Amino acid sequence: MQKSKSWFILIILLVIAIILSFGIGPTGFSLSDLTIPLEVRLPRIILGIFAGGVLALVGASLQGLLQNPLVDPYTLGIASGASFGAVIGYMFGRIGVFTVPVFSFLGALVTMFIVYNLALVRSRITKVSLVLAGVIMSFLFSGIVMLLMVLTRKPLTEIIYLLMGRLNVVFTNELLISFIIIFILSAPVMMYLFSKWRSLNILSMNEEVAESLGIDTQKLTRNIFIASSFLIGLVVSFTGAISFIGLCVPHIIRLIYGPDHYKVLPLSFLLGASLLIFTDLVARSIAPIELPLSVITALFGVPFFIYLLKKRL
Amino acid sequence: MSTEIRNKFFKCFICIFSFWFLIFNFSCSSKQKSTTPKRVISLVPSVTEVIFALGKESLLVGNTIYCDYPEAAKAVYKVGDFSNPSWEKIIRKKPTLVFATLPEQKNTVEQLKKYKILVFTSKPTSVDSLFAEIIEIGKLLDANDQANILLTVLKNKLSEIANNNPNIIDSPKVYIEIAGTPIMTVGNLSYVNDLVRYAGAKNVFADMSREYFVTNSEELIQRNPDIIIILHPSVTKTQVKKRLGWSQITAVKKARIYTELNPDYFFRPGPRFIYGVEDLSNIVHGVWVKKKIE
Repeated sequence: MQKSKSWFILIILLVIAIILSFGIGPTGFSLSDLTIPLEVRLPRIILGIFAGGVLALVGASLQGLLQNPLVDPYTLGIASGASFGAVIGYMFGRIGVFTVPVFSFLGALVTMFIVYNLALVRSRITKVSLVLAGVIMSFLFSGIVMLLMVLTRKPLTEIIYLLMGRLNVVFTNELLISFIIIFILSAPVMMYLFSKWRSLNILSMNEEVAESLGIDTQKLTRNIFIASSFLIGLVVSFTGAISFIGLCVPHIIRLIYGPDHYKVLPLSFLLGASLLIFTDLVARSIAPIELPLSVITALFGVPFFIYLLKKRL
Repeated sequence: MSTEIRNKFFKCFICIFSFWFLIFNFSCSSKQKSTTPKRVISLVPSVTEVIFALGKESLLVGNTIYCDYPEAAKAVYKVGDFSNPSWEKIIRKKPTLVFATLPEQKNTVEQLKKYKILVFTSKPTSVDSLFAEIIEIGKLLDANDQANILLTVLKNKLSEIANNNPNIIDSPKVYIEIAGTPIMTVGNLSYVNDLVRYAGAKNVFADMSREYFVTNSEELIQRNPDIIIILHPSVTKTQVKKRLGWSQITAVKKARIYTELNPDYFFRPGPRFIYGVEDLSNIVHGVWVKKKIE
């Protein structure tokens, strides 16, 4: 009963977000001519569902795996690593539509590997060392991105949007198709993360218990890391690095629905997707000037998060 | 004896007088104009172009790595890039006058002022203010005549272009795209807005009181420009046509998309702006062909 209710509420929320985002825009909305909602707003909505959902899902998986409430694609430096990869991809020019996503994925993977090894002190990982390593790498890669873009004479605004996120992608048919292919390709990876809810539940009790129950934590960690890098790399290559969603959405879900990963993972996906669509709606409703998404996620998300935190304490 | 004293007194007087005369002269001249700065550094590519156009390139002892026009500007000593000129390299050249721009070079400008080095900050926001600046640069470099000649040439060319704008009742709406990820355009605080106006057209975002900003597809589709000018290299004409939803825009329907213009004509407020206005005007009249090299 409780379970189906929680699903229901979040799906309704997502549907409302989609309908609003589909209907609202400077050209208005009329049922007789759906060209603009379909061609301009719909790709943005799909991108929003993908990006928001993936960020939250990856955040939830990593928080469960590392049993660390502070990790997310941003604090672990993966998002910045992916931005770095994306910039390298841009510098090679658009050889093919998949150049940027591939480089972005590699950037994310390499960063994650470095962060993990930096945090490994005497073959153990402490919560502090992990976040510290992540933040350090995040600074490093943001710095390198800045440097590269200044050297290639990109306007500062472009850098800001790459580092702070946007759904303002001007799609062409090819780009949209390649994006949908990527979405479909990443579905099995997402399913893999969803399917690991049981292991994550056991892991959150005790690592030794998990080992004794036959869970290969090493392998699990490696697989979740690769899956996360893959997904974050794809998201960042399209939207840039969006903060807050990956860190806070899983917390909100856990505060409301409890720590069971069977719920946390998919519900995070749903809430992340709806929140990002709402955020984007705000970002483009101040049009004709668009704001970077991270600005809005920070302004609206953080107070809400603080409220939830205080209420529970 | 008395003649000797008188002589001494006279010498003394001459000395004191000439000393004060010099001081007076010097203070006057520094207030007004006549000390010609012999060592000039330009941190602004457009000012470098103005200096060359005034024929005063011999005074130039330093510029930035972005100062690449005319060809000879490349050979001048480089003090760094546009946003981060090296303070040490500037000082090493012992400049008496530095051209800079705000707000990008605020730190350098403040430092130069602290060291009592004459700074001229260039920031033209319109064609008129560019003209005023050319006159001032002419004064500073002792090239008043050359500046006036340059201005006459530019103004004649402008009015020639204006006369060629044959009774355009509805001046076409032009969309200028300056970056592709995300798409960015210019508002009415931008100098480019003025160039569009001189070419007999209207910036489709002329109501926005900004220099440049990020916009989105839908906003643009609603504003429906007649002409699309792409001033960055990241997209081709066919890619612009294929952008989803853009097929509704008049410019795309009529295939009036231009990607081959030289961005420097628009982003560098120097003498070459006239080529930008000319190209735009030709585009407006539908007679534009890509020139090989100007």
